[in-house]
Amino acid sequence: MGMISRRFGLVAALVAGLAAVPALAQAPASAPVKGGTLTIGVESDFEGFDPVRAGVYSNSTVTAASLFYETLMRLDDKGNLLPGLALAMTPNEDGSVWAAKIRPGVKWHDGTPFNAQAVADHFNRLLDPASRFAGRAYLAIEKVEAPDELTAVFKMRGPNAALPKTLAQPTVTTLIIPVKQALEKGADYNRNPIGTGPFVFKEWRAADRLIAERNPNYWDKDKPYLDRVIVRPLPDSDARYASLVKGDVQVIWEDRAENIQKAKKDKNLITLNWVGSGALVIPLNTVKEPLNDKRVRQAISMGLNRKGNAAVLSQGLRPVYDDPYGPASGIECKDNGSLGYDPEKAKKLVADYGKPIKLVHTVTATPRGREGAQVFQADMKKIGIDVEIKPVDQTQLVKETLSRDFLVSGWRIIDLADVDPQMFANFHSKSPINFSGYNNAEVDRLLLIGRTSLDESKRKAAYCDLIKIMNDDVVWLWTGSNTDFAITRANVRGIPALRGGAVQVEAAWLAK
Amino acid sequence: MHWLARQVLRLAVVLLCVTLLTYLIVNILPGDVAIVILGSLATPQDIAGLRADLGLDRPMLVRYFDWLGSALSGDLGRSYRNGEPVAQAIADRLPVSLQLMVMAQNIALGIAVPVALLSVRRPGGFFDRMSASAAFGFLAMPNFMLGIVLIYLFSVTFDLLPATGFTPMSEGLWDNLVSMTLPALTLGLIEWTVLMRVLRSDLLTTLKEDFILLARAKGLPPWRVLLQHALRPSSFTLITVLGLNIGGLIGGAVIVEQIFALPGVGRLLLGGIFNRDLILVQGTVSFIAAGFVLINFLVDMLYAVLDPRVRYARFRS
Repeated sequence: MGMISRRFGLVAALVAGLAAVPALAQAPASAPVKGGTLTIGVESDFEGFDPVRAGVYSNSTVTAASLFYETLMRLDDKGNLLPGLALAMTPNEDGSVWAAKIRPGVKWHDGTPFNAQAVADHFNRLLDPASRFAGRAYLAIEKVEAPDELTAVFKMRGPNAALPKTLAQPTVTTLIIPVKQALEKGADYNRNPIGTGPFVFKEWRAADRLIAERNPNYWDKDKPYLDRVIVRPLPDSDARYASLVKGDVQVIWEDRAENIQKAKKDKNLITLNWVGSGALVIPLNTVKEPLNDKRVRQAISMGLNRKGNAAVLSQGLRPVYDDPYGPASGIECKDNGSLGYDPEKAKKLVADYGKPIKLVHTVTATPRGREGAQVFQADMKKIGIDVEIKPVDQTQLVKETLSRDFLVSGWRIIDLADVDPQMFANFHSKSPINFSGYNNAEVDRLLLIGRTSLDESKRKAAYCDLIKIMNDDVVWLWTGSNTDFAITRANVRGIPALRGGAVQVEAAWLAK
Repeated sequence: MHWLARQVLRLAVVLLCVTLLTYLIVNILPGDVAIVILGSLATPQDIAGLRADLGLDRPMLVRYFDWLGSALSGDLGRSYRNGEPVAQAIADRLPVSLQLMVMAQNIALGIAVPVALLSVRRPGGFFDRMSASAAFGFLAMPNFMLGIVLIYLFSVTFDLLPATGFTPMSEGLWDNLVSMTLPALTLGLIEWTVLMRVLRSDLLTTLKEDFILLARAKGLPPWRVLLQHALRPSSFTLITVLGLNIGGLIGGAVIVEQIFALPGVGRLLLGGIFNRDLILVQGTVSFIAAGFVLINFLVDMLYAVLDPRVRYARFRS
């Protein structure tokens, strides 16, 4: 119970923090100032802006793509749904069909009208197996139809409660592009995007900068406030931070703890913090020896000092929870069945197992991957489990993990507004992505409630019930939250929650 | 001409070996571009389909000779990642890297030559010992660290130069030079050390030659002896090292371009490696290798210009 109250304490602190940060950034009482250029420093160059060609969008690409593209629905900082390109989304009786009422009068940047058919074309293209768009694995959509100009109908593979929130978070899947224009332009479109968004694409100098200018015909007449936005890939975190301090850029995405701690002490800078849903995780292969024995998995869970390790590895900036939901999911479980940190009990379980335990921990061959594996190895040694660290390339890790050719791996449940797509894909026994081989009929049943019930309280109860079972079964270990930081100059206002690590600037402005 | 033909033939063989070796190394690297493109959730069928589309399911040697045939006609293929022609990508980024290396080399020479000349005036004297210490200090410093130190010094502390970024010449020569100063300084401040030590050593040897004694006996001032009589015959090793150091400069440029966010060939290569964009890596490495070999070929030719004895020996062969 002590752990639970700490969890609630952390959530409360986070909510207070989230409330404080935008308030500070938005400086109440002053109205937004129009004009000016905002330069954002991101970590990496962009994959491109055609989801089929790019395949995945990094958070740097989502930052840039959000300038041109928009989602059907939106989320406020508390996770409430707001209208976007759709005014509303309404389900049929069981949630197997959703109708999106499209906002009238919206135009693409080339002047052609945006309508329901464009929505249908976008999603149907991603769903088409011929496009090989891997993100379709998360979409529970069968197909999208456009019965009239302003109604897009989503036919789901079964009842689905999560669709509106899933479509509200900007991702490679949900940011809508004009398929007709993309196909006409071919490969060129990937580097010359057209959207409905607040800014119009101007220029992309590869590895240097992307320039966007205010869309004078934007449907929200008050926005955007800025005249121009420049997004610069600055891969070195120290140089990125120095560029911000000097004023070459006004906003940076940052993950280096030293720089974040420095920024917190600098009165010329504001640190924005977002703890999203999902988590950093260590998946265990529950069908391979010795991990097919629940005692071994429980020993690992009780022997791993997750909170102590996270405090060291992230300098206390990345909170750890006993579930993979995170505060942004809105799911708070009074009892999540966590086994807690208990190395003595872990040693007894190892002794009870009776055979020597040797594990191979596959990790990315990066400093971050190695550090995480080393603390895991040290903790396991204390309870009598030998761990061999196997550093591999990122794509090799993905390949080995998805093909179940692993014992212990390193993974992430990404930050999404609704937990259903990831939870169902990772843990339902019939899911092709359930690479831990977890098979529990009760968890399957609860996952289905989470997916299908239109009653939000029933859904939340189901997720709490299933995490209790999963924490006892120990399928994956939750080692840290999805925490993102951005640092801005003190005069930057109006940047919303950093969902998925993306910096969105539709409502941003520069104070005098 | 016989000598020249042999050199050209050698050049072609070296280039062929380099491209083949690069192809083999790049292809045995772990990782799969199809997973990078399609993401972690791609199905095995989708991955296999994309690999087939990219031609990655064919035998490695078949792919190499296909690539070589196209490369000889100037077509280095298209990036697996974003479809951009590799030759075009290199051409777009080459001016940035060339400018960086030329500026760095000039900074290095601009420091190395005067320091070496001052050092040999009194070998073992105060300036000589100080310059040797400074040289070893800079040589021991990794360029990524020097880059960050220079950023904090010149950008953050004194607010003199931009911390990162590149301004093309089309937006003004001054702004362009300002944006390239710190990156070039980062490379040049490490490069000068070797050049200085090599030149100093050769100058000391030359200063013991009879013709220098004669020049001194004629009553020429020490600076004229150094600049007009000793410098030129002492610069052979310097020129050799300049050619060989191009490799080091390119390696340094990869890191410096990353730190200062310059859109050069080095960053293109690094992006290609991270994304397992094998054809981009192959094209870029082959291009860099060809450049390296060609520059050293030109250095060979330069010996003949500087030293009549080399010219004579080549003519006889």
